[in-house]
Amino acid sequence: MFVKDYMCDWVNTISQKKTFPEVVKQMVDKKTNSIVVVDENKKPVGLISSRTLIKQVVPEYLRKNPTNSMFGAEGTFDKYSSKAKKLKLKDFMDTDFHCLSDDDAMIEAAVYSLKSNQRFMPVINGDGELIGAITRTCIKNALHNVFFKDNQINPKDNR
Amino acid sequence: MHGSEMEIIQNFQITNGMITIALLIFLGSYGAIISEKVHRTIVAIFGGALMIIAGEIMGFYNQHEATNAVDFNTVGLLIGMMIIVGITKTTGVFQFVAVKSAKLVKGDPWKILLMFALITAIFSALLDNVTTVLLMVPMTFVICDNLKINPMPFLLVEIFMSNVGGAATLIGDPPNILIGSAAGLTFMQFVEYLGPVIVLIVPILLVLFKFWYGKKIKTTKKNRERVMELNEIESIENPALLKKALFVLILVILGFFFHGALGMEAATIALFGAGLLLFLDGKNPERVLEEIEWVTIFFFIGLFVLVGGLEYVGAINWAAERMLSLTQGNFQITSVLILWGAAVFSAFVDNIPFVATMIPLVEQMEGVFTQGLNPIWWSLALGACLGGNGTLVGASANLVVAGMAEKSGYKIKFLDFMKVGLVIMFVTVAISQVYLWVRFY
Repeated sequence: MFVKDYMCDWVNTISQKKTFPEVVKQMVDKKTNSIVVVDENKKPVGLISSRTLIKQVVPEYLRKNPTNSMFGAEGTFDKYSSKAKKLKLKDFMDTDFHCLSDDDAMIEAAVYSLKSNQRFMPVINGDGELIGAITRTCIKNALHNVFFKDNQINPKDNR
Repeated sequence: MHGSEMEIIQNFQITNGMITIALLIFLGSYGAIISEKVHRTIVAIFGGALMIIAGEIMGFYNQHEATNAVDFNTVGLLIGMMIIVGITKTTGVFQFVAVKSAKLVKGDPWKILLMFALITAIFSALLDNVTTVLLMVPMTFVICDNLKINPMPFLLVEIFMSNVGGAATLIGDPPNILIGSAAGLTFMQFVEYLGPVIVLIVPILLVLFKFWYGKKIKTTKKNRERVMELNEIESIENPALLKKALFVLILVILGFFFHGALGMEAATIALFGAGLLLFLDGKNPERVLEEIEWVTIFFFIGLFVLVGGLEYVGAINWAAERMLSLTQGNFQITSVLILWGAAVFSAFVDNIPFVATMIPLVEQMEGVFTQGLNPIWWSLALGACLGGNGTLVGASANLVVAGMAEKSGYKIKFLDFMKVGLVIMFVTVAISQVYLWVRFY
């Protein structure tokens, strides 16, 4: 069972020169929770998830103790969202992520999805170019095919 | 253990080479800590290990002596309090106190600043400074957001008051923990000798704050009403745990008041409280123990090992003799020099390694003064704690607040802070000087 058997071969990408509002718009338009930031050679240089976006608008003083947010003033969300408006993707994208190659075993994808709580792993070819991605849905599909050998789903139909 | 507790029997001939190597390792580590290029804990551990290796090779220090140099009373007290606070803060009691106090003064921003200043000073006397500001600053932002006012005056006041309040007790500030443990001073002795001067300093600072910030923080009636609408009860998420935590906190504070009379170390009280609260909480202790600031604990351990090497090689003894010859063994001059020297030094560099180094040096003065050593200890404690207000890098709490403020969009500039901080430092140390003069000279 290999990554190439279960990966999505289409991935949403964005240039690292784009801004915070531009990535929000693209993710909303594409109805996705994750996007890969690529350089001019199509090599992945960062990841942005909805969580990455939310982190930018929750101020430091509310992060460590969520109870404080019970007393948060109206307008706080708007205030910190506006402050994030001029951020470039390279300023806040997640750069600590694990890439898979298409001939990696699925167990590696499963392990890394747990280890780093990474919901989305870019898949690259030998030249480091992005060729797909493994999501938790891909891993779930692989799990299904282990249990239901008589009723195998074609991962290509279910991405 | 330091000096009086740690018997140093030198059955070897100290050479200049030994002293030079030990000083080089110590000063190199100190320089690296000040430069902040490498994390101070890494420097302390690495420097401590180097000191042992040099000592083993040259014969002035070994692993057994290095282990003896670690003051487990300080380490135990820090760990015990971190566990107790780690559990207590999850109950929401600190948010409750902040909101309740803001409502008590009807949402008036200046009066809230006064309340937060006093709460910070009191919390800081009973907990450590960094914990206090970590609890107070987030709620300060929340309240200021509701009042639509700039939180900067509040942040500065909380920094100053955390350092002032922390000076009042044995457990309030790491330098006091170090001094109390090494000199065998009790919690009650700190309250008796340092409490009065802090009680004197606080209202004087409040007048200064009124002069500086009184007219700058104004809000509308509508914003005040918004604060009055906050429901502090909402913050109490686990009332059962809150009762247990408050019970243990009160027990521990009572224990601190009587630990001298009971003949127990402060660490015993804190660790007992931590164990009791973990037991009453009944949950897996892993999560709570992860909250212990191990980075700080290992910084202390590394420092103890480093300074221990200097003691064993005789460098501390030599420095104490030089200092006494400089002050000609005069009690007043020595006390003044230590108070102001500690303040100025602590304003610019971390006061923890400074105090850790000064402790064995002061111990070497045992028997020199007819007044005893205690007034010298109080001078060191006041200088080190109050000096922390001088600049933004003077105390860990200052940097923690500055970091949190910057990430929330408010930058505390080094020079802006220093302009106010040096005034606060000078005023508070001068008051301490007069107090020490009246009480001991």
